[in-house]
Amino acid sequence: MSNAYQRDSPRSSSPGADKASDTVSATTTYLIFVVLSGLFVSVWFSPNDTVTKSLIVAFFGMMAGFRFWTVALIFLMVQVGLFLVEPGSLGAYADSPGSSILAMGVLALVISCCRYLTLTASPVPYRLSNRESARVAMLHVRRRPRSSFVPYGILPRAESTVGKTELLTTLARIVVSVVAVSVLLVLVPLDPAAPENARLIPPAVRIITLIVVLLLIWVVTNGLLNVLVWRRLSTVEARLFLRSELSKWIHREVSSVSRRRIRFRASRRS
Amino acid sequence: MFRTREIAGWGLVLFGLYLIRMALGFVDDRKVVEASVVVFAAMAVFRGGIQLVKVATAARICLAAEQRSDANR
Repeated sequence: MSNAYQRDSPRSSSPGADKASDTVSATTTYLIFVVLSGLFVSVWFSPNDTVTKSLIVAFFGMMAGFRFWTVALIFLMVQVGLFLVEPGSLGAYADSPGSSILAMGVLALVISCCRYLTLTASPVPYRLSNRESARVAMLHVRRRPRSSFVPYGILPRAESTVGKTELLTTLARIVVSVVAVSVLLVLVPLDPAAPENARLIPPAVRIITLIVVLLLIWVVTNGLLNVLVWRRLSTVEARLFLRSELSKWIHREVSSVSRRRIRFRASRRS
Repeated sequence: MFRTREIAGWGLVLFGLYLIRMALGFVDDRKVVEASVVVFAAMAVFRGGIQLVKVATAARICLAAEQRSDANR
């Protein structure tokens, strides 16, 4: 599939537009996303019954078919997962890993997919009617080359947009963040009465606790850094800030004076 | 002079935090309307404090630069 894209794409067919040696094609990146998403979904939704198995297969198929709607599909699958985590079907998730790690996995996937879509999206905004959208979807399903999207206003962009090292660093960041969050979760004790008091399932309490802890860390760090940075202002920056601030304070007075002057001149002319 | 303003700014920031704490207390007692009113006040006080600190710091930097240039003359 990757070769077909590179062969058919207008960029790779033109002379002098060879793929740079230090980059990975967007199709390869997308395939990595598909495999990771498939693994993630298989781990999360332990396939004990036929319905879940069918859902996983459908999800895999859709991920492989529709390139531009990756984020929507991941969210859809998360919604399905949340629906299945109703009290009646909690038993199926007894052996699943911690929900916080899975939540981080979802976030990492969504962020990566958003970045991928931004990098490979059409440089010109386009709007399609419903009928055209269906045709474009069919082109996706049939894995047509990017050049065939041009009649619909979707201009092709460079296929090789993600560097090799970027992929590695992204994976390293995801691993580091997941490990850090797991350590944080072990260190932060959970209130055992919270699920009953707030009427939430334990994974939800765990995620909310994690969000509160991370938010606190972020707010404190951000505040301290802002204060430190502000104290290192240059003289020019400080002057500029003071001028703009003082002009804001007297903005109403200045504008009312200007309005009166304009009115006065207009009355004199008439 | 600017130090006084900066201290006043930090005082306002702390007062804003106290108001937020008060709003959380209201939320604990299921008094959502009272909490929202206090949160609005807290936001105004907090932002005012931060603004005062920023202006005081910038003014101090400008004043120090002026004094330095005067001394060089």
